[in-house]
Amino acid sequence: MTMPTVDARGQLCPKPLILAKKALNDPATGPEFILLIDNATARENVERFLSDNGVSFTTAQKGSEYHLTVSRSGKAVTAPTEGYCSDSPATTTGTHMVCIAGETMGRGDETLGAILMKGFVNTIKEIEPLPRRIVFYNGGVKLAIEGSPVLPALKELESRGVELLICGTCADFYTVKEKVAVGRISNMYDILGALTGASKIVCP
Amino acid sequence: MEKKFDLLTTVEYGGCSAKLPAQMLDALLAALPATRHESLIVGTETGDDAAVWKLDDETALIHTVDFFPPICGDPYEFGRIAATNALSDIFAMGGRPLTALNLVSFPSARIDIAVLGEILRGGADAVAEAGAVIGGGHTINDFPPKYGLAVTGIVHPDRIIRNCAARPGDALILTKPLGTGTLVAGHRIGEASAEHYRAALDTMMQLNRATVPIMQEHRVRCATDITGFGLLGHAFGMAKGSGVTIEIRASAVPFLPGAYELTEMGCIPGAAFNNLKRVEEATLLAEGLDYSRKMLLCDPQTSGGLLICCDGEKVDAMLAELKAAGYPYAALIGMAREFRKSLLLDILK
Repeated sequence: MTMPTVDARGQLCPKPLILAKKALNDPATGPEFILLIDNATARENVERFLSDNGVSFTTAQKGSEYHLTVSRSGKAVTAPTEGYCSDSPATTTGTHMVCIAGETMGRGDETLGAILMKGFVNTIKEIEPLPRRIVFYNGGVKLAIEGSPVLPALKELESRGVELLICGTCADFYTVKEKVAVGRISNMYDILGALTGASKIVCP
Repeated sequence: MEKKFDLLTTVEYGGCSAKLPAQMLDALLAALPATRHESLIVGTETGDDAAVWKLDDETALIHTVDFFPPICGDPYEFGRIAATNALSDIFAMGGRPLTALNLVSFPSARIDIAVLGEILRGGADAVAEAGAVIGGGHTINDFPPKYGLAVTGIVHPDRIIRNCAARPGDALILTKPLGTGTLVAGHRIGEASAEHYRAALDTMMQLNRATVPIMQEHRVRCATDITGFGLLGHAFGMAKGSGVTIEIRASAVPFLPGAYELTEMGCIPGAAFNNLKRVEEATLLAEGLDYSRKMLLCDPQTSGGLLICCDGEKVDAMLAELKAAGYPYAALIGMAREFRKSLLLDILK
């Protein structure tokens, strides 16, 4: 049986919360539903809202998305999240992260640096375990925009469960925010939190 | 005439919601060396609304600054709200603004410069209405746009109204209704009615100026303006600075029309959750307190009203005068009590 799904991806806060509440209050929703969210802040706020109101739920992270299985009955959700996750590609990410701070790798010739960076990013997917997250800041954000030579590699990494954090201030500064084609726009708070929580940080 | 530029398309979080989280700032500022000078009679210690510098026994200077990204779509109204919000800190200290300087971030290559003209016109109108003059400003080419003022005012050194002078037994008056954060969020997602949104804009454009003579006449010693940290956040600061427990009766707190219904729908700005998180450790919430009401007490306000402490016997007179001065929602919302162990806020139903 497929569970009803409420898609709040790409929605501005507090829209995800409104959609969650609407589904909770609608008897037609059935005993459980899945809420899709692609924004960490919205996820945190929705979870807080559900907890405060005594609603049980479980959250599974899939790449940059959060899938919340929400129970309308008020009882604990009995279906284990593993069962729910098993139909997604196995996540094999580790606990380390990669920090991409510029368009080029190493210091010296710019052209060489760009070639090296392209090789580096394309190779990330070959090394197991995959990084938990990749953060892009300063000139690094330009690797995540339309037309970037490493965009296919980044999309593949994202589909395999690697979270890609793009520095929003940087994307604004280079006026490429509209062209960001992968990952999610993030802020210094999230980025610093991710860096602090990583077991190891790999910097090209 | 071509369609007006909608400033809300430039930002995700505008107005006072764009503040850095208080918890982050608290830790950061605590690590900086304290700034002490015998003439700096209000400094950073209690997070008061403005800094006060005593010039002589008759005059103290009040300094404040405030700016933020767009809170509404119309450039003129944004300018007016941002300026009203910046001037509010002077009024919250019981003072009179003298001069204001414009602070502007504006992307001249991306947005028609005429939009900035409208923002500045709105700011100038608010400054004029406040009885002050604009003495200059500073502009930066930057996106998204931001606007605000640095304001200098004066107050008699014995008549400074602090945010940390609440005494047990003081009654608490709130001058404007809450809900601007919720209504702006509701407007952005198309859920707020035009009429309710308009009321929110009007309240944000209303100066707190007329409150000052009323406060001074009744010898008010303690007040603060309600902005990004919400009613509970600012009451929390007042309780902490004053060493009292503040009791607030949730059902007595006025809300803007439509705000409660939007909150019921789940339209709760993210900053409200941050505000709640910041205070809840030292806050007792009554059992059965209505959830939407609780979240509205945490709603981030832009250019909100004043939270005023006054003697119990002056409440009726002050409320009558505030209503006559153009604050129809002014209400008695709680009391300051003797400090109870580790409890700063006591929220009743």
